[in-house]
Amino acid sequence: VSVRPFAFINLPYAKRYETVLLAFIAGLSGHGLVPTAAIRDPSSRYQLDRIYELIASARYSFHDLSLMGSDRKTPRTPRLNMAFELGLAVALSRAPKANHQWFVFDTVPYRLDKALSDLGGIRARIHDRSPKGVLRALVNALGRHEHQPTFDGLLRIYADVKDAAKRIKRGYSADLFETRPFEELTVVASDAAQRHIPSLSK
Amino acid sequence: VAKVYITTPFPTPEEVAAHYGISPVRVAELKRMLEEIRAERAERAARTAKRTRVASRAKKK
Repeated sequence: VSVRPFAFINLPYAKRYETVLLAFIAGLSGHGLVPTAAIRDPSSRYQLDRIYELIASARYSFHDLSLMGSDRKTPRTPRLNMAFELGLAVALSRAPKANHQWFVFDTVPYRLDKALSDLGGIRARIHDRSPKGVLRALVNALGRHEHQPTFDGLLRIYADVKDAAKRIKRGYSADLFETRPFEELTVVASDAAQRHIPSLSK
Repeated sequence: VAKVYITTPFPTPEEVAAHYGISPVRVAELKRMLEEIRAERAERAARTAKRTRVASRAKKK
């Protein structure tokens, strides 16, 4: 297997972000990238080591920082993992001979200027948590000179991934934020890309 | 904000599967599942189109 550009997805592992996850898998695969994520893996080593290795081996990382509130369980706590992982990506991108690029996403324009002012000057890409919104943000961030996907093509890839996710949920896992569903959906998305990007299927 | 252009070739589903350690048998199952999904979707679309045609004909009468 030749080396492929991995794209690390960093978003909240919460039910209401399932659509966002599927749209990222579809959109990144539609640009020829291989999605990776620090999806829960009970058999794995320390989570921090895994995350570091995943980001370090990825050419690109995509960080959705839109979940900023506290959860409802006592003690009410904000989720800091996403910002922490962005910090790791920024550090890696600045290391000598680094080859890593990161992108930040949010759902509220200019909010990150306040919440994470250290990023000063970096504008988050805005989406509304809908598949179209996420894909629109991705096409504004990424492009290809060869085999450029159309927006319609990305929507078709998303439709395949979404329907496959429904079947996986009915079949063996109600939770898409687990290793096997995530990995299988990346294969599905890759197959869908081959089909819905006309220049690839020639 | 600048756009990033990706120049690497598209990976095949088999290459992605190999990276994740997914067996060729499972890849074939996933591909079959996708074919079924697309066939069902096409069938649904055809049924909807037929219903629309019938309804518009009935309206004309």
